Amino acid sequence: MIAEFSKPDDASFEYWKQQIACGNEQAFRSLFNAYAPRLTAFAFSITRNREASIDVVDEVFVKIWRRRDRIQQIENITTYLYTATKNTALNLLSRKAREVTVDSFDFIDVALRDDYAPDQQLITAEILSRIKKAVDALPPKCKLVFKLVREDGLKYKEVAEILEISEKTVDAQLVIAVKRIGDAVGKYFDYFPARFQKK
Amino acid sequence: MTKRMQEQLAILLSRQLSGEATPEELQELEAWIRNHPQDHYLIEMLQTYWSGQAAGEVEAVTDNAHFDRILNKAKSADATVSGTLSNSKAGIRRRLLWWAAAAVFFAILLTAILFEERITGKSPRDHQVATVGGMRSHVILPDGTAVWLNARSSLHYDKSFNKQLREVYLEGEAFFEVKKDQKRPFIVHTSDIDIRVLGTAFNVKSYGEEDKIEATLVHGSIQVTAPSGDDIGTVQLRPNEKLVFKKQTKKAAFSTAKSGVKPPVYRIEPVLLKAADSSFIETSWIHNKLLFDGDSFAELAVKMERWFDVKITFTDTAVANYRLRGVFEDESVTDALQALQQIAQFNYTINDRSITISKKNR
Repeated sequence: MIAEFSKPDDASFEYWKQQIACGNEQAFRSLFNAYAPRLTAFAFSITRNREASIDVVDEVFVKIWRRRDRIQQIENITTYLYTATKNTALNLLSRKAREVTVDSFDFIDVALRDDYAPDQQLITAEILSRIKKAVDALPPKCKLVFKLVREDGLKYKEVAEILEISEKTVDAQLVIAVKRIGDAVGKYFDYFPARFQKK
Repeated sequence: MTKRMQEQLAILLSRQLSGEATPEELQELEAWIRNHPQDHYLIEMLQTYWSGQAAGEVEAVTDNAHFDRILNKAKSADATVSGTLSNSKAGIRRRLLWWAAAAVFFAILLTAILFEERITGKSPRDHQVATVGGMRSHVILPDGTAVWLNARSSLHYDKSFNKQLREVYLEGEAFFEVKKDQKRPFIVHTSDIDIRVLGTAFNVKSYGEEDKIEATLVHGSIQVTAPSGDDIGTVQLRPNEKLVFKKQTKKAAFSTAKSGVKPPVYRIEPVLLKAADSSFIETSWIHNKLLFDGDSFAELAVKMERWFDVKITFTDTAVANYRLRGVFEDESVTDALQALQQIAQFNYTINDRSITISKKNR
């Protein structure tokens, strides 16, 4: 039962919530350890500043603990944490702006993780650099959707809730991203058609 | 080779990559690959790219010191809030906590007077964890032992902890998952008995207001000794056994000493497993369940007082003697009382945090 307690899986969420609500610091620590890396990366993608992204995540967790008596009301802890991180990070970027809307992401270009070349012959360094270029050139909102789905493994429904857009929009944005990457690689095929002839 | 990726393929592929594709869409994608072999390589490449990714550029700070800073920040924010709203619940809780701490201190003072020789030369307690009514807590001790603390309980240990011995003092109820360390025995001191272990999991219940102390063993083995003269010697417990120690009032202890007759002060009982999930009733509280099995209503009321942080009084002894069994999980105290009314006949009134239970009027 001890192992169950510290393992960050879906089954623990309800237990964590209950435990945090009654002041269990260890459960709070488990929640923090499970989410802090992903949320810090998410905050970094918005703030593009290491210290700031750590501050943002700290602030989110300080708030959780301070309002732990209300934690049971949170239905989906993942979307809650991402949304809080997003809002806190955007607030940090524009302290003056009291209202935070998702329109911000039409202007804020998020940072993505640095991809390494997978240890496969399938993707050469040259192809990877083309893919990266294509991803980097994606429109801001599209890039953010791409990041949350691919890097953080979130469902359409969760991304939609975090960014306050419809699931349809999430779907459409991801199709755009995949198509642009496909096009970039496809062009490369055209340049070197013989190399990729398959029987 | 088409120069541009076709829209339909982009739709199917993006849904497959994100894990949002329906079974039909997955079939469609397979059909696409069969019908467009020239796209096969591109699709595979995108799938490989999607699943291969580097670790995050930013490493989160998840070390303990950093986490403690977050906690402290949250707590100092707590203090500010209750400072401005002195009558708030938080303020009341803080004052209760202070009283609990004061009570524990007083209890320790008493213990110190009673067992002076045992504590001579020891520094005053350094570390303490305490819970108030309606609250449970979980702590990890410096040696790695995990402790769950039930409501209205306190645990303390001093500087010498983890040097030669691992000694803790318990008032109330706690569950221990003791880190194995053959060289340093772990000892739980209660008001009347000591429990000595090397590495094991067990539950100790020793509330001041109850006339007995219970030690329940989940696995491993424990030794129970009574140092205060009620010579039970050393009792070794096996897994799934529970020792119930009958506390003696000082007066009773003296009179038995004079007459030379010693009534049995403890008994060993088997622990009953709940068939459904083979969990112990004794340790169900650490999973946030208040389980009662054949308790009298009066006994259950004592548990409920701690669990819900309320005060319960009976105006009728027949009602207080009802035998009840059941489990509370997330219920509020009102929900719990209403649930009990389904199985027993009684009335109740709630006035702030005090509850009066009376006979049902006909």
